[in-house]
Amino acid sequence: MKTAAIVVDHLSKHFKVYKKEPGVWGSIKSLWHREYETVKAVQDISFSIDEGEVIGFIGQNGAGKTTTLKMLSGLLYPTSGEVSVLGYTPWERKPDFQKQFSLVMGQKNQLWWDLPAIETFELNKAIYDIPDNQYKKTLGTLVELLDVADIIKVQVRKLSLGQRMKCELIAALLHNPKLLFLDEPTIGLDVIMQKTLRDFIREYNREFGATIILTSHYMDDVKELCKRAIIIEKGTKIFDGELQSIIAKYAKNKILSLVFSKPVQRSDLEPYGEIKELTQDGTNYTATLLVGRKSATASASKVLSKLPVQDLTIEEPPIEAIIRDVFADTKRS
Amino acid sequence: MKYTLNSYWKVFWKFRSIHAMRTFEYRKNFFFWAVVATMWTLFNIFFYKILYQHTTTVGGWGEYQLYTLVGLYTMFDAIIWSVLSHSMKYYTRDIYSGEFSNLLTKPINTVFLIFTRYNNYNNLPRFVIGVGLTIWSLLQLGAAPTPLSLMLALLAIGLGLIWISAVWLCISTLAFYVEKLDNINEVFPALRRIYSYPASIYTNTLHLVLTTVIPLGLITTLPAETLHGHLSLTSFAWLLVSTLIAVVSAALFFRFSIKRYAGVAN
Repeated sequence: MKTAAIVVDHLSKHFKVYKKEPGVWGSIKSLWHREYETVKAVQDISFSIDEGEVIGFIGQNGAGKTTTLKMLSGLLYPTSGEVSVLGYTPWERKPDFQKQFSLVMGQKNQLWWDLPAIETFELNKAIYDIPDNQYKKTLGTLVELLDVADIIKVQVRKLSLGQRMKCELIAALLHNPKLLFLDEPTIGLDVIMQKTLRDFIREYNREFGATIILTSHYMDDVKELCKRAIIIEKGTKIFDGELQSIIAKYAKNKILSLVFSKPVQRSDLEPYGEIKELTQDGTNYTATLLVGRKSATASASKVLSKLPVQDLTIEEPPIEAIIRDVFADTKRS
Repeated sequence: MKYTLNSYWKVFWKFRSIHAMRTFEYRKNFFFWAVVATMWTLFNIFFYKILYQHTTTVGGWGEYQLYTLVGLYTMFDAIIWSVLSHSMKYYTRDIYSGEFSNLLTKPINTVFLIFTRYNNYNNLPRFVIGVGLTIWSLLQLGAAPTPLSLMLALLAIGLGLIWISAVWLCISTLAFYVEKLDNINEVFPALRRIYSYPASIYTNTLHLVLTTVIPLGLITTLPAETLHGHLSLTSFAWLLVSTLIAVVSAALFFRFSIKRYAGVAN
């Protein structure tokens, strides 16, 4: 039987935020009187995660994902509820607990900007008190997995976003954390780099047996890495279960984006799927089709053979659209 | 595995080497600031030189006696601008920007990280001038501090630095309560003028306040007097007690305030 790495019981976090009236007069009035409102960022959520699981923690912007991750990593004190992470209460911030997890935020960085990433790695070695042999072995493995041997001695400010993200991951993983909180790790990266990082995360989970909680706006990230998903909307958990069941129920279509070398007629496209967009402005001939998930490859193949296709991509529907549907369904029931 | 003093020592020096590398990465900036900091110090000494052309004592302190104090003040000031000012600036800025999360997830004392993770070396020449001026003034006075008075003077300097750090931490911790406090770190540098003069120039109630309630008057006066062979045990004991109170208060206030940390929304 697997042991629970994380147990969350009726967790809530409320913030008091100031609501400013618009305009200069609103600002002047705010000098002596301010209206505050309580925002329920996380509202009574409960779940548990087993050791070694990779969970997709998804929701729209402002849904409460990051606030939950911050409570699980001990950065925030909850308004109410209980949490046990690896047997510890996170906000007590015990060093023994902090040595066992890592929080990677795609929009924040810990690398020293003016220096090569290797200097941050050395610093983390000292901070996490990593023995020499473990440090060398882990660094070697991570550098090889991410293929960054030639960039770790280059100043961070001279690296591309993708290269920086790879180095951020290494800095976060040098102490071999058992638990990894990944908050939008692929944000802003191109598709190739997103894929590289996904492969790496999967490999890290396989090699080190780490428990991983991933938040992402990219359906591909979640779909490729997670068997289970927790969907959070307006601070409340609206789904917790097999990711495949959501995809089957709410993401029945894929998006086929096409670029043509010559104009095509609406009637030429209709047999292959639902036309969402067709542009024919004399220089650009593009179309977007919604095609059935199971028949996406076959439809693409037919379009390629019958029409003057210059470029073609098959994409997952945006995660927000799926969440909206799940949310609407939850409200109805 | 428990953290030992040795672990903290290693982290401390790792940060120092990181900032040495960062400083030397932009060497022209370093040289420019080193020149500015040196000029700043020399002008200060020049001011006292002119003053003593018109008087023989200031608050009962002769010229070379005062240079001991100015030397100590210069050393304090170099440390404040090299370490404390940077640490506290980044501390308040990080609370506002949410970067403070980086420190809170590290398995090492957060206050230790706040105080040690930043520094610069631009004021290094000032520190050297301060040490040189203190030694030179003692030589001019013919004072030969005993090993005990030298040790006590160093202890007084240490207590002064700890007192300043603790009080500054309390002030900067207000950043958890007020969303943006750009000028909060200007408070302490403004107060440092108080200990750039001997405590004896302050009279009556002001003297009492600056040597007991807010013992800023003792910060440089006490080690300077100790080096001159006039150890005041009462003042020494009070600085010790006051430092202990400041450290405990800062630790409790920080621990209480940290619960208010909200980071920033993504």
